[in-house]
Amino acid sequence: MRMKKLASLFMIGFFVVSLFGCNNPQQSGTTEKTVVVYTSVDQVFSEKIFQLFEQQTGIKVKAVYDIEASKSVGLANRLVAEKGQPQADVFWNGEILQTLDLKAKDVLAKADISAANELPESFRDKDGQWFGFGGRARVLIVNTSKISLDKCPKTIEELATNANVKNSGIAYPVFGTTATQAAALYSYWGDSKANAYYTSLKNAGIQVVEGNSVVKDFVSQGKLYYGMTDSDDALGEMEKNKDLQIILLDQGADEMGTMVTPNTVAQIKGAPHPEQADAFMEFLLSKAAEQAMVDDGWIHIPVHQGVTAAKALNADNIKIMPIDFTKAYTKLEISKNDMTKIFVK
Amino acid sequence: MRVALRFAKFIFMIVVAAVLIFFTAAPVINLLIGALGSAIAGKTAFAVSDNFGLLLKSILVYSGAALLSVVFGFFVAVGVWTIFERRAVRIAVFILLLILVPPFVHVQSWIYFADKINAFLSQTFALSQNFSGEFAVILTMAFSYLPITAGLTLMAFLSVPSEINDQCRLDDSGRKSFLKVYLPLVAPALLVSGLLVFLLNINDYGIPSVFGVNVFSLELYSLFSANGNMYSVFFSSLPLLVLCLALLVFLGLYMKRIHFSFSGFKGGNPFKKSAFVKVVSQIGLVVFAFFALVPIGNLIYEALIVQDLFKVIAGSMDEFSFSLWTSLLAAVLCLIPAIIFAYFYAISKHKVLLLCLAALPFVIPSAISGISMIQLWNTPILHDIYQSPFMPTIAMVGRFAFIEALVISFAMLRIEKALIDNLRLHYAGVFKTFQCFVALLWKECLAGILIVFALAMSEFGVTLLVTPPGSQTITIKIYNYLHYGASDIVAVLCLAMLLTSLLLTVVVFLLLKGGKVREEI
Repeated sequence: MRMKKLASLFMIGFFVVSLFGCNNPQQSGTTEKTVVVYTSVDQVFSEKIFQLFEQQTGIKVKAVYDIEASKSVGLANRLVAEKGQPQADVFWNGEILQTLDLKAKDVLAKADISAANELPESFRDKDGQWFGFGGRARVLIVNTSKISLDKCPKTIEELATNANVKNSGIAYPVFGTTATQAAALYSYWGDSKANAYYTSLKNAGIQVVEGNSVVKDFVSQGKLYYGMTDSDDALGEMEKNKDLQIILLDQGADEMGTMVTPNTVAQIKGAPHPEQADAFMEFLLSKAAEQAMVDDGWIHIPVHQGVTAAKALNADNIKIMPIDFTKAYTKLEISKNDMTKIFVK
Repeated sequence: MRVALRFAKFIFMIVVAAVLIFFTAAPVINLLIGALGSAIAGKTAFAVSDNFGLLLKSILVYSGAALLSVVFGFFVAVGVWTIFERRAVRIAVFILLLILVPPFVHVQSWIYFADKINAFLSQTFALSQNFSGEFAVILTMAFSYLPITAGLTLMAFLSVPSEINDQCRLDDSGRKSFLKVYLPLVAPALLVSGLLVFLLNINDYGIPSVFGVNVFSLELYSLFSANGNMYSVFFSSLPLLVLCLALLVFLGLYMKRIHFSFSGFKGGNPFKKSAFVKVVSQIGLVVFAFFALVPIGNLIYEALIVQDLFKVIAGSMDEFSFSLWTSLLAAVLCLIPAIIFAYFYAISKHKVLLLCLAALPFVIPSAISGISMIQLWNTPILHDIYQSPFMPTIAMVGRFAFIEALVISFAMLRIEKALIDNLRLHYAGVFKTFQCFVALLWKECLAGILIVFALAMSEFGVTLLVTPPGSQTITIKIYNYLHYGASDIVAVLCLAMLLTSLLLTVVVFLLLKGGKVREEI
């Protein structure tokens, strides 16, 4: 009987504590200003930016985070499905092609953001529906306990011809930034050359793993000698494993340069809180926010003048691959279909 | 007054039942209508995937994992039943709750463990073998879902009627009666658990892709990622859907022939002295040791790195509360459609058809199911519900009611038909009838609730799409941190999730023991 009383007390305590845990000012009817942000940016980075914004403006951010396991078919599809009656005010994307896809599907609205005037023209949509800012580079992460840097490929084409290709890896090129890179190569090289390149990668025996984070994990564990991943994944792992190094591909005079994926931000058409959405976008596109993201390790190649680039990447001297992302977007579906045929079937 | 009250109760129950059935069936109906409309309008080509090679490979991999998990589960159940006879019920509940450890944690732990073995082998014998490919997928998946196979099998062992138990004890407590009397009695539990493992995984490519194995569901997600057209993915997934339904047809036919016993919690193990059972139980304990030590040992090892445990847990209290409430509510609400389904299943002449219809929400890929729910709920009339914190609960009821229905349906079949006829003859209203079924099947209901609670806690495919802004489930947070490489924080959160659920279960058991249930036991 005593146990039953104790159990009852515990249940009451649990109910009370968890109800406090669930307490949310918005749901309890207070009039605090809020902005709803859907983001594909890693939570560990984006939540710090949200906190900064909340401290500066007093506007509460209600976020919905994507996860890598959903393979980028999560949030963007949610935005499309919610189109008639959106919940989101802003979409902050860690890459760009999905944002262009949302524009094509009439999910985005025109926004007038004064902070965007400081951005280069190629980072501003001509219709004012999205804005790009600092980005991450696609890098080769190398485990130097397994292979010396001079034996690694120096260009993306050498990935397929290098003697150690069977000990190298990429993520499935049908999802995330690896898919963006494939679409970019389709637009840069043309369909047939890009298709032949990926077919040769597959035939050469490159390891295809679940995601960019798995690439860096496997390289760090020594299961792969080197692999293609994003600079945030690579630099984060380098802090834990001193055997790791990164190589920026295609940096020679006649070479195309390293692909850099910019962040993008857009306002949702019919957003429930347009004023707060504008305020958030003003903040996110500001020089201070970009510097904060560089310092935190999310962005490595800033676009604002005066923002200090990531030193670990020697970002000031990177040769960046010239990509027309609008053209790359038109290649996204064909490249994904080809990648499915080459790597999945 | 009494008539009015009974009428009000009747109306209330009918409304609740109708709403819950609507929750489970509506997204599927919406999807079917949309797909058909899109095909007729020529917007989506009716193109079924012809990649039968990949489909066959996927079936082999997933059925291999299910089979291995069933074998492991059988060994573990016999081991616990033999060695921890008196505490077997509690251990069964504990085992079922271990499904709260997300599969990805199992994967990481097994990779880590295999690496250590590999390093030892290469240093000692100059042998080196990478832990990858189909073998790694099957082994990891079998261990990840061992809680379901071992938990359900153990409960089936414990539920064998006492008269059979006594008969075996008196007449023959050797290998022969174990294999010829007991094994057929627990066979349905083995089959159901194996089928659950297969169905839970067939639409998920997470574990295979980590080990570099391509499966059919990866092709479906690639297609969805490429064209964003859920109807086209639905058409492509039809071979998989047909396969799942065929399996359920088989199960339905099997259920007709087997008398399934799933209640009692009374029987001790009459085969304790059998040499055969001793060997099986010892193997079972070794398997259980691997199952428990590799992931949980790894979690504890990782969690010890964290310096401020309290800060990590306190920082995730909102997510914990949200997940617990959502999952608990979903698991309990699933009872209503599950018992209604089980009742109709027991009296229906079209059992197979019923089973297939009920399974549809569960076998459709989660991303498509989630999008269909948004289309259905994010409308002017239902928008307030869609934006509310109840939406993930609704989604979980839709997705997992079938699991609870399956468990309870098996149990319902063992209720004497005369009793059901009596309930119909002396009909005392929906509420009383429902109460009678709950009283008769409370253990099965509890088992179903536990399984659904655990599955709902670790679900992310649908919850990601319908969770209201500003809220987050603990599983989504864990996956986010896992991607970032914060395995120590992930370990703390997984352990905290497991301990909280265990604590809640212990408390529920204590409360039940203090009431009428004790007398029944």
